[in-house]
Amino acid sequence: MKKLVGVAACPAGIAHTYIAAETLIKFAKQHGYDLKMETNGAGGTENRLTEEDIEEAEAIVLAVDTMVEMERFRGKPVLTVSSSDAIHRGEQVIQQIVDGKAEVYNP
Amino acid sequence: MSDIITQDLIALDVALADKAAVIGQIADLLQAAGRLKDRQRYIDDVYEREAMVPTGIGNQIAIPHARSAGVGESGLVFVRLAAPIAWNEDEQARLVFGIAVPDDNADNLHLKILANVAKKLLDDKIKQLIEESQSKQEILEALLA
Repeated sequence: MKKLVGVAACPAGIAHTYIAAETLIKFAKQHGYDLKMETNGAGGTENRLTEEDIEEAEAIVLAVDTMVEMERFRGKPVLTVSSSDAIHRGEQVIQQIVDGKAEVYNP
Repeated sequence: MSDIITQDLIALDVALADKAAVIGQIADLLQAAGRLKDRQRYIDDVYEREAMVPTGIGNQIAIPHARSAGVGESGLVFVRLAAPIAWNEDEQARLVFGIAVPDDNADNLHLKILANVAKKLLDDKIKQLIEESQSKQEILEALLA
C-alpha cells in the first residue's frame, strides 16, 4: 500500500487535532493510501513518526495551527493546511497530495 | 475520578435560540455536575477559543471547548438541539459537544477519552445514533465504547 505520513496539532490540543487526523486518514484510505498521523495534543505526542515512516512516505501532510518539528521532513514533499481546513476540506487536501501538489520542503 | 460524561451532562432536543444560549447551557450542566470552579471564566475561555477558530466541524456538529482555570474536573457535555442554529458565519449546528478540561493538564486519561470521542464523531453510524436516539444511556455507551 502507498504510504503517507502527517502531523496534526491545534491550539488547545483536545479535539481538532484528533478530528483532523481521523478525517485525513479516512480520505487517504479512499484513495488507496495508508496514512499515519502523529498527533501533537495537550496530552503529548502520540503515534510519533519514525525516521523510517518518513522515509517510506510519498508525501507529508501537516494539519497544524501550531509549530511542529520540521527538520525531519527536509527533502520530502510537504503540504501544510490548518486543522480546520483538514476537517472541512479533508477530501480536497488528500486530492492535492494525490495530484502531486505538495512542494518539497527545502528551506 | 468521575466519568467524563454522565447522563446529567446530556440534554436532548432542547430549544435554544443561539450560540450564546448553547454555551450558557453547557456551562450550566457542567456547573450542576460540580465540574466548574468558575463558570464565567470557563465561558470566557470557550469564547476565546471560538475566536481563534470556530469549532463547527461540519455535519451540524460543533465542539466548543476550552482548557480553563475555571474548570475543576474534566467534563464532556452533549446538547442536542431541537432545531439547528447558526454556529459560524457559514455553518449550522444541532449536535453540540461542550468540552471542559482543567488548565493544569494533569488529567491525561480524560484527554485520551476525549480524543477517542472526537474520532467517533466521524463515524456515520454513531452520528446517526446520537442524532436519533431517545436514550441517554445508549448515547453514553456509544460515545464511550
